[in-house]
Amino acid sequence: VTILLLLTLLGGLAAWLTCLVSEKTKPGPVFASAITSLIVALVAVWLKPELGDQLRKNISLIFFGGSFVGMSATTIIKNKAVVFIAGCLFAALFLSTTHLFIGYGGGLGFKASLSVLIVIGVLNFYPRLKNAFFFRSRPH
Amino acid sequence: VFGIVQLVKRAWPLWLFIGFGLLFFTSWFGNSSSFPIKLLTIGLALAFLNGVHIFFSTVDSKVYTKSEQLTLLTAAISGTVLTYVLTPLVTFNVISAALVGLWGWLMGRIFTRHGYTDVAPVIYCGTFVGMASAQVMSLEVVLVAGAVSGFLFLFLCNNLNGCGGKLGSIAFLSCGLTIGLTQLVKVLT
Repeated sequence: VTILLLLTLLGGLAAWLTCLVSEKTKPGPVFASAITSLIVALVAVWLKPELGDQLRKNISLIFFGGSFVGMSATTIIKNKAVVFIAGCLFAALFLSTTHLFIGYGGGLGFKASLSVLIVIGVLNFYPRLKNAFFFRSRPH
Repeated sequence: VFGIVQLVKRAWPLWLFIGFGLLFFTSWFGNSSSFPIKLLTIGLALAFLNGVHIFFSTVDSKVYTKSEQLTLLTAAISGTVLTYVLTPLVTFNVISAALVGLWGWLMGRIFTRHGYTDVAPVIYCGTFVGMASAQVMSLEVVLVAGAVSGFLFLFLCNNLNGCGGKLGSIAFLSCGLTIGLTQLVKVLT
């Protein structure tokens, strides 16, 4: 269970890191996603073999997918915490549906876009939900 | 009726996208048996539909010339084939995809100097298609899928801009379409 939790947090970390790199440096999102996931995949190759092939592969795949979430433009998602949550959601989706889309290209990206769209949909509903369930604080 | 026909004609990738998304959610739904998880799945699907509505209601107005379209198609195919060829040489397919992505970023920089935009995202989209495993798709099928992903990028250039995972979902749709086509060809012959 702790491994699953750590992997979920890894997805969030990947999204946050990619967003940070693509924002702070000139080259743009494609470079940021590629370079961060390349580094993490190489680290995963050099990890101890006792961890098992499946886990090492999952680490690299989750980081790669999480970096797709981080590639979304800053005009769409402004808050870094929201990006982190979207990455965590992606990792949870990936871990719960590993049996789907095995070996199909783009399965990762589809899950990433699903998680981004879910987060944006929830954010769009959020003010209305807050008004419905908690009484709104009056504007000063 | 005319309005509905226009809607289907103009936004057919949207329907494809929604269909695949709902298929995903229903297949997930079928595996779980407990009530709260079913409720959660329905909520997530509703949020997904809302997000799709937000993204497809804002439309950009990008137009590519003929030569730009040709460049983007060749870029997609080259990214796909390179990743597919590189994958057996390295341990994980993520490494080959990231390497080809870096190469695509370089090519994108060179091409933007000559006035061709959006080459880097298209090559990165092609690498996702090339990540498909060799058991599922042979080289010819992957080639066709790369071309289809280039066409889909041209169709979707004004929708879903700035949404993370747009390229990946384009790759996924193209793989699904190509595998469906090959199944159809097998049935017919």
